[in-house]
Amino acid sequence: MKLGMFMMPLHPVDRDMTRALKEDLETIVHADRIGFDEMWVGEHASCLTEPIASPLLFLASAIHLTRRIKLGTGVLNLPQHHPARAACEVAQFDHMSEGRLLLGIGPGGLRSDFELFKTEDHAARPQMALESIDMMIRIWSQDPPYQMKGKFWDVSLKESVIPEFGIGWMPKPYQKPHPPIAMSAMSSGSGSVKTAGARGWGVITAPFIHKNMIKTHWMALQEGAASAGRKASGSEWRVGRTVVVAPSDAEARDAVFDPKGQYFFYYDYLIRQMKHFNFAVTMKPDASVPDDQLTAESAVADRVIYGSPSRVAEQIIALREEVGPFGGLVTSQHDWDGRDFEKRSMQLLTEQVMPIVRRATGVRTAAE
Amino acid sequence: MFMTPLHPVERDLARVLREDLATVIHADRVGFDEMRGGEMAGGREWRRT
Repeated sequence: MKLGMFMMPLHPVDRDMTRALKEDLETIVHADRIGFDEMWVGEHASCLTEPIASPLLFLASAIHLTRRIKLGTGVLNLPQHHPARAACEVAQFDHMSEGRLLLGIGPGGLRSDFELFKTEDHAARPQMALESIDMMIRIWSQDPPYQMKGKFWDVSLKESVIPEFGIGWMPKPYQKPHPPIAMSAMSSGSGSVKTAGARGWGVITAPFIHKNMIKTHWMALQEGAASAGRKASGSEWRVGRTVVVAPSDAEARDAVFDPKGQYFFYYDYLIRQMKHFNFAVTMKPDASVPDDQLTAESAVADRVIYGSPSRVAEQIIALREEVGPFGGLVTSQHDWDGRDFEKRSMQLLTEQVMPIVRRATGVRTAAE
Repeated sequence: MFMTPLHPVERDLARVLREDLATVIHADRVGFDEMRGGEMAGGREWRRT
């Protein structure tokens, strides 16, 4: 089973941005050293708590500080980018990292970014994302001239193609035909999951959704794959969860339920934000639960896997038996206010928890 | 230093990017004050996007 981490990242609003970025980079370097397989980094242009505007730019700083970890956009919000720009930057990154890029894509999720980039049409965003990725794939699959007319974008390059000077050619990725594509999902029976299933792309279930919703993603992935005459594989599915490991159950529990700790901060922030935007349903066990019953404490209790290594391994194995055969576990990254605890938790996860999980599930890491 | 960069069309892209990066690191070590990299989206010779 692959082990990854999803780095939103989410920091307190008053954290110094330079320092937060330095610590986030250190998290990737640490993850690579101790054996994580993947790191996924989010994209948010207009939010002080989520300070990474360009995951590709940020991840580029990690390429030469790491050796083997795959570097993923989590995700590239395609409605906010011209497809030609996205295609050439993704291709360049893939060469710079010599094939370590995982291309997470999506329609975007931050309300202020929608206003900023004029992508407020909720129904249009998924269509924009799909049109964009299709154009990107076409750009990577051919030489000039390029001529694509879509509903949202036109890509045209035919008058300025000068073979003698090599002008007019767009770069193709290092990985052939392109980096692995994955879509994130946070709603029940997500349409993105069905699309991914139909296209043979990966799916990443967001770490903060309620457990009851996770299995709907496996069902949607199977449905999407079947619509294209394919059989879905658990290897295409990664499930996000917050995983906290300590030497003892008691120590993990104290950290997870500390009202001033990073885990409470993370879930309290997400709940307040989702309530504000009337989107709290993604964090509820079912839609009938009133908003006021959704608290940081209930969120942490419902979705954080915590404890000693053996106890955490038991919970991951039980979760997989309950929701479906996911082939990747993606834990959430947290602010390094609790730096030493968080680093040790990551290390216990790779060194003590995952070997138990992989033995029990028979799903090994890609490197094995 | 101004780095277009400009490479022969047949050069491997991953390798030229690695060499361009090595140039930046070398420039820093030997005392250059600035490095400026160009932006080109559609060119087999001008590879920086």
